Amino acid sequence: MCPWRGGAQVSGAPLLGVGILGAGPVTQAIHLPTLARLTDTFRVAMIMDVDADIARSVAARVDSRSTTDMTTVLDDPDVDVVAICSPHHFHAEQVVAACRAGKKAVLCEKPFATTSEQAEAIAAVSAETGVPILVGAMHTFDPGWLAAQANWGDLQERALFIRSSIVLPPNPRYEDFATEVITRPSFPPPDYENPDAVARMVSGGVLGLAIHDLPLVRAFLPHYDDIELLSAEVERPGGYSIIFRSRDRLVEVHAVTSNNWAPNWAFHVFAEDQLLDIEFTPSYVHAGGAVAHLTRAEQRITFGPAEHNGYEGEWRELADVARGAEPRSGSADLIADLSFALNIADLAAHKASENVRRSAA
Amino acid sequence: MTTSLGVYAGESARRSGDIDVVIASLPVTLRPSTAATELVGIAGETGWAGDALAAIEGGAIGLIIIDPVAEDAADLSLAAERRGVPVVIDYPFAGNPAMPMAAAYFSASESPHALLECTVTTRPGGNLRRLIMDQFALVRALDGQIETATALDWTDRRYVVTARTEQGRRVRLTAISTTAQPPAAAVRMLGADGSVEFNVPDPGTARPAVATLITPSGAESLPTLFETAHRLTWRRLARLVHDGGQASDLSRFTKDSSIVGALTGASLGR
Repeated sequence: MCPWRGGAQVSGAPLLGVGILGAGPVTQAIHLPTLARLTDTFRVAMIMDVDADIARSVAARVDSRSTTDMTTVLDDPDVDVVAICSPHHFHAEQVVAACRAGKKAVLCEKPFATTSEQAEAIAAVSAETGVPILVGAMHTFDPGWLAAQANWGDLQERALFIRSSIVLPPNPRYEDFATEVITRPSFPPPDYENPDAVARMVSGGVLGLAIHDLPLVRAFLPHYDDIELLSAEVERPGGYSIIFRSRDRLVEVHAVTSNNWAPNWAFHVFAEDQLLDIEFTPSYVHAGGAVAHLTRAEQRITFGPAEHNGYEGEWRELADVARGAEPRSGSADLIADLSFALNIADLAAHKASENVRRSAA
Repeated sequence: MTTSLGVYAGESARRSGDIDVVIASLPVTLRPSTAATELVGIAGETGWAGDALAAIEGGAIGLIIIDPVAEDAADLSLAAERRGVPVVIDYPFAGNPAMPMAAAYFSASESPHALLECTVTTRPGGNLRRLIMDQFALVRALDGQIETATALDWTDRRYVVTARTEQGRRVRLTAISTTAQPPAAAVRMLGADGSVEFNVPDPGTARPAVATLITPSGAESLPTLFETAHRLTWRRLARLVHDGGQASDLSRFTKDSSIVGALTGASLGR
């Protein structure tokens, strides 16, 4: 029997059929290789993409069926769980449709909506239908983060300074080691002198990259809706640099995407008596889990690296919730994470574009 | 063999500058002295410029100011120049012996839009106005003189300052008070094709700084130097005294001091 077609489960529980909406680089380089590590739990039942050739080609890799129609996926009784990997603006509509279709669980790439109103509507449908939703913020599922969380004691109450720092080479450097990508979106060259373009770059950076770690940042901000933006700039050749205060907490989130080959994806929390530092592995590749350190009184405890990272962690949790477990993050948390990210994106985009306008004046 | 130089320092300077340890590690060059007539170590607490001026008027032939706070040093500078007395500044981080070689890495990584970030952790209760002077000196030694600076956040436990160097480089200076780890400075410049990382450990030890240059073809690290910033600074002063040389530390300090004074709202005593 072909291993992709299922029926060879080793865990005792029936395999969960997966339907995937959107067959771009994230599906090709992240989710399919991840599912290949979890063949005792999942089988890919159907892949949908608006481009029939891409849908067919990607589906053929995992011996699944393909379609260009979302409804075909949602109506398929072989599809137990749905992964939404389409462009951002389709997410909300597709999550709602998957819930209404009565699937066992939904995994949506971040952000799972583009407005807070959409997020609240999704939460209401999830509550009404009983279909749990997970958002693919992979670092929140990383064993390194989870181990630190279980051991950091009162760090959340005592944090002084929280920092997310992402230094990444271009995505293809990792995508091309994770799969053989057959389609890649193209982007226009950046215009750093155009205020509107800068606003889009910063907002896109927050919602496309910073959003991986904003749920981690929010975990240390009891008043996350009270934000005083101090600085926001676009980084060259790509990225953003944002500093804000939330009452007594200071936060810096920055990313630089360049030709620098050495990735460094770090998250730090400084308190007067404790330091948390986590180094995550780059996106796309399955390079294992993060390494987290908790340092207190010059003593350092290390967690990780685990064999699996957050990509696999999110699918493992999806399996658990599809089989009846409670998700670790409820709808209220997902809405709060999204509202926080949207707020930071709006504030930072406005500030960065104003800087450009002021410089030009 | 040159004659050893007598070192006089008050209790605070001896403690903050590890002066007894320095003398023990330079037994040929230095010896302790109870008279302030040769080399004098002065703690950089508020009022240090007056103490230093008095030391020069008292006959000192060389001065070290340890980790000074921003202060008006114009009169001191004039007196030192008039009498030919070298005055050097002992910065805990910027005085690290790896600094000149690390600076070569920073200048090799030419990228006009690169961000230079410097994060320092310090003990709670430490004087952040002294720490930022050290950070200014660190940036100057590695990349260039800071010309403008703005404090985005400043409390008794942390600060974030954005700045620009004379070459237009964007700089971010951050300081955090914590007992979690020993004091340390981490400097990083992120360019389009590579980066430089420079980590300076606790200045109270001779643990070496680590500098790494990342280029498109790989990464390289500097050889390690097991010497404290304090010891190197005293060696520099002794050489200046023996050679009859002058130091430019005070003029650079004066420029930093005016920027930091405005930044922190401190009075410079004018």
